[in-house]
Amino acid sequence: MHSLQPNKLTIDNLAFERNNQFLFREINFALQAGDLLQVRGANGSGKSTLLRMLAGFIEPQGGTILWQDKSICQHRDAYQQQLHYLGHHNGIKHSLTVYENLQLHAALMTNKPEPNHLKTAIKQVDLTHVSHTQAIHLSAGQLRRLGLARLLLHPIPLWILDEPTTALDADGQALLGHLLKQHLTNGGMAIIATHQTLAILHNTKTIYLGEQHV
Amino acid sequence: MLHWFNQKFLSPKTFYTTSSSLLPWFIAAFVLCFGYGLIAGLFFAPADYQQGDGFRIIYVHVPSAFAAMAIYSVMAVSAVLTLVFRIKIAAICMSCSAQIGAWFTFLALVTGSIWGKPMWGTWWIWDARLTSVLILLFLYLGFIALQSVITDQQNRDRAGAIVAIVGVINLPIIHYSVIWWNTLHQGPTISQFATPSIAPSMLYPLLAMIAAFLFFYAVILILCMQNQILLREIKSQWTKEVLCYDY
Amino acid sequence: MFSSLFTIMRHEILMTMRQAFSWLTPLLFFVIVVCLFPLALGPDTDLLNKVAPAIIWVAALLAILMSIGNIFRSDAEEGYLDLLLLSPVPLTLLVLCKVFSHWMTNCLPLILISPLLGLLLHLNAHEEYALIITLLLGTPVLSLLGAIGAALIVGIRGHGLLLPILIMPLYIPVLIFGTGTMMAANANLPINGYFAIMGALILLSLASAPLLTGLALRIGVNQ
Repeated sequence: MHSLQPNKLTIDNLAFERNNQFLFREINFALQAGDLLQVRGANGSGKSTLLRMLAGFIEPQGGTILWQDKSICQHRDAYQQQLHYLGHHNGIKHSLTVYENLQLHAALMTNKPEPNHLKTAIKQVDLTHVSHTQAIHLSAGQLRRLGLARLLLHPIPLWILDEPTTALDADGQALLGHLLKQHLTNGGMAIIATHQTLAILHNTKTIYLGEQHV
Repeated sequence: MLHWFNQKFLSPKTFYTTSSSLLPWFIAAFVLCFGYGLIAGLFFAPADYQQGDGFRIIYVHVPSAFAAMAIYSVMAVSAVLTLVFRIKIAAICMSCSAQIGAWFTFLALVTGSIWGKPMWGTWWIWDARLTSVLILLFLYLGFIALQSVITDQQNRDRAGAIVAIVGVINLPIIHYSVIWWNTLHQGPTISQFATPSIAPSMLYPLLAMIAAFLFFYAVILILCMQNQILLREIKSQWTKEVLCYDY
Repeated sequence: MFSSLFTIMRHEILMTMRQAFSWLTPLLFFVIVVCLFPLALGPDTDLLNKVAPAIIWVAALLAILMSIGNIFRSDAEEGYLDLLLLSPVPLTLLVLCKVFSHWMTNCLPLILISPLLGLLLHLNAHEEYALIITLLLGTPVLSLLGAIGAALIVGIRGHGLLLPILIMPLYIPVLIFGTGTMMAANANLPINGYFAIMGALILLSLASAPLLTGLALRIGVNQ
């Protein structure tokens, strides 16, 4: 999105081992604008590790990850500016309010946090009524929504979400589906780890971890 | 290209085979130097004018202190190689050296203390050298402590490398600040035993003992590194062959 | 970029202020430890005056050691550390931000209350001046070096006393020069040279610590 060439993520023969045991190997896929990748697998099958590797936190021990045909290991900084990562913990500081959290997140993305922009994001995730409540007083579902709000602050091509449906109620999951659909329609890509079936959207690819356990 | 160099010459397997063939030479060198140094130092070097025969502990104290410092330098260089070039055997060298170095440092402190009793009449004195060696021991122990807590191998190597590098950057600063601290508090009295000139008959055994200690370090380092390599590469084919062969 | 850094710093300080115990505890610890020594040594004015530099400096050092170990802990637990690593803002600048915020909230109160403690230990005006300036120059170094240790142990659960073991040897030069300066002030010797040395220590720490902290954070985030 907003880049001259179409976004493309290519994974080739990815492997990772920890303490002499392969967590996964021979992972291959290619993503393009509008694609959604589901990573499925039981608990402990390495989904989080794979997602963190795709976010550039961990180095793969085999294979390559290419963004726009360039290895992310060499162009890590540029690559990481093209992605949003939402992990199990939402990256929310508990002693700040919802609004302040988004201010901080916007600053980290070096955007000028215009109040209207932040308020729109809060409205989209339906947290306006707790906008000035400290995050420590929010429920798990509300925290997850706040995490999603961060994704809306700035249009960024790649979303990497680790079990985003956790703690979300039915409304929340519908919201997530809606936001994802919006993102993909606008030319974004998403990689989602989940241990349950997501409502299948257009252009969904799936890979399964765990059967490849050595 | 660097990766190729790394794989070809610095792979654990190459190191294992090369070090196995070098090991007997190091052992021989150690035995020769140690033998000469010990016999010449204990029996043939003349007794010191001031201290009598008590000075002979110098033949253990100075080499261990020297080895302690030298090993830290080796650790620091290995740390840089681990962090910047990701060379596996450098990481193994660093971890093994730390344990050996810590023991040498401890030995230096103990022998220094034993030397101090007849020399200064006390088991411990806060002079610049002993204090620096004590701080060096803490640096070693901190490194070992951190490595023992981290479970993931790669993280352990890299975190340890950072500690070693931070330590080596601070070592000159610590050393000079301790010297300054010592002069500040002791005044002009030179409390260190520092002979500006040392008789050759005393010096040569000392040099031989220093060399002996370094060869000893090399021997133990190779044995430790070989162990570590086998442990880390346990899934490879060549380690299986080596282990079966030994049995 | 700078407005971002300013926002980040503002929020860091805001967070610390909201959790009063996080900055109040080291301050109280500092005061209590300093007050323990006269109880242990006796009320002899000359003795207290003589050991005052050591007491205040060691107490300050321990207080800072207590608090610096946790600067990245909550960030790691809340997944905020990931965001710091992903941010386009250079990691060294972010680390500097955090360390500066920590210094302002944890070390500055110590510096401000130190003259009062100096009075308790019978320091004269010139020594008080030396005390404040040495703490002003020394505490940034303690924060910067402590941050490296904090980053190294960030993922480790139950790290216990690992941070002091790692960081104490690095603190020794600052301690030596800090107390040395105050002892020189006690003897009415010129002390500007010592200030220069401590300034050099700050510059050296500024040049090396944020970089090393960033490296350690990249490792620690995966534990």
